[in-house]
Amino acid sequence: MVQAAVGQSNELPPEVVTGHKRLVSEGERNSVLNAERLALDAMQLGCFDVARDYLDRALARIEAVYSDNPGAQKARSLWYDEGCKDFKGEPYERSMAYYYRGLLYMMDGEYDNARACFKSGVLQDAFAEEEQYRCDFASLVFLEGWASQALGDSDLANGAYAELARLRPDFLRPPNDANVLLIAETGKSPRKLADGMGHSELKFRRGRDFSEVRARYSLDGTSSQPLYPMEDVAWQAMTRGGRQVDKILQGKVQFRSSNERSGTVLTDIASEMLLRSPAGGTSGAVMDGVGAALGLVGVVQLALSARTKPHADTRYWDNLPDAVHVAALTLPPGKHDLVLSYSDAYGQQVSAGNASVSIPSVGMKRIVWVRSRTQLSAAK
Amino acid sequence: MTRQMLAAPLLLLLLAGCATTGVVNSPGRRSTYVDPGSPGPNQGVGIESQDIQSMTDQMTRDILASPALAGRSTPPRVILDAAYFDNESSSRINKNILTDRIRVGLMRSSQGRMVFVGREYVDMVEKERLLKREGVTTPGTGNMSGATAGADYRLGGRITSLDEVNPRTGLADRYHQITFEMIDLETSQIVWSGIYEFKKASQDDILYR
Repeated sequence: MVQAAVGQSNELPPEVVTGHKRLVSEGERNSVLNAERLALDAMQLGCFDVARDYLDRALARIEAVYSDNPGAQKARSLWYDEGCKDFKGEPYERSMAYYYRGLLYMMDGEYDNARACFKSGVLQDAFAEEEQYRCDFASLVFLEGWASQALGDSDLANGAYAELARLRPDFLRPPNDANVLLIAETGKSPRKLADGMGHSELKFRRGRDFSEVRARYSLDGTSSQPLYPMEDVAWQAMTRGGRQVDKILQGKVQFRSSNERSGTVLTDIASEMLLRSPAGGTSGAVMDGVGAALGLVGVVQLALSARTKPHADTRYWDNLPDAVHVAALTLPPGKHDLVLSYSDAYGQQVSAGNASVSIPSVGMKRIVWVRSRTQLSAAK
Repeated sequence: MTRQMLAAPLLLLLLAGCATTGVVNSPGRRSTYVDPGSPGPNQGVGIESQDIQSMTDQMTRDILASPALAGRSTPPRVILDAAYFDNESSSRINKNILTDRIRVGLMRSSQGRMVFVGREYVDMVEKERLLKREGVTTPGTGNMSGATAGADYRLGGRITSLDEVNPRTGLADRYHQITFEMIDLETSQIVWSGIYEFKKASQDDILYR
């Protein structure tokens, strides 16, 4: 289990070095993806300064508007897969990049920039094709409210919590004196798969090989309490709806199949003509010529079909969690011990971990960030 | 006929040979100086360097034109930092970039009509004062004062934004409104205020929508 606290090492940890080399060698095309993976690796290793740098690198590219980008132009063409474009991620991945950067800002006490991140993350979700699932990233809305509460901006906090009440009606707003935000992440990242003809359809699936879906905490030896399951990251991925690029990929598939069909027919006809043409004589020569011409057209069509690349882009941020759980605590000054336990869908405990939090005598709210499992992308 | 039949696989082989290796072989690009007052190569809908420059230049001019601040017979002491400058927008920004530029601009242009108090350095100042008074160090060349300087005015303000996204077209726009206010630290009166606003719209490539 991973626990976050403020102010640890800013050196590149050895576990991240391999991933960093990959970031350099794979260049701009995978820059956002590699930076996101490395940032989350660094957070899990407690290197928050390193994580900040990687997330800033990723967000700078996410926020840049890609118009007339050569990689994007190539990906739109028939001859390149969608995956040759620079990766910016699907909306849920971009939202999660803002989520983590916002958490880091909160750890630094920069609640206004944290709020800006959470707002930007919600905006990324506005690109969902399915209207009912637009801007429903509840964890970001909650964190926007929490950040506003920490800043004493009651109007903005009220607005965010009112929005949250629409998304999570059973969630109770944290009291104003709550000073610790406990965030527990469980499970593994949602996956992307290419399906359909030519693997042109992008499908999202829940992550696999994990069973923990619920989280509980026990404070200073008291009886355990559940954390509220605020976000289902996989649900966010799966309810994204169709993408605009899907229409381009469908067009590529149509181009490929129609060329393949007509190319096959033409080469078959050409072969027949060449086989059946009488040896010698004018008619034989004409049939040979026509057959060869048809064969050439057919071959060109087959070649065009073979060169068409409709494969959807299946690169994904693979060390994200499956779900995010939260609890707001009101703790007196001093050091407090937390025991986290994670259970499966049947309530059976599958793993546990410890964390601690120190409350200064005055002031700032604290954040405790834990994960049910360590998932280092560099280990893959 | 054999030649013609051989042409098909040969052509396919030729086309297949044109496939790329996927290796990133970009030669890169040398660093170049870019005018911070004009839009750079990477743009979004957030606050960028040209906005910072225009905004802070305008606020500096406004403050210098304010009789309450720049026209007093005794130069007022002003705290101009980001401690009370709130970011309520959806743009991440280091607020010091705004307040630092205004302060430096005013320091240069006001020519003594305003005095600036570095409240964020108060710890540093207090430590040095203590060393001097305890005799650990000699006094400075100036007079020893009874206390650090109190201020007459302090800058406050707010960055707000309004975002709109059209999911069908991918067009996103963001309206920013940045207000700057100078607060009288005795009466809490607002003696000067300025506003800067701009709106940007952009549309990402269809591949990213």
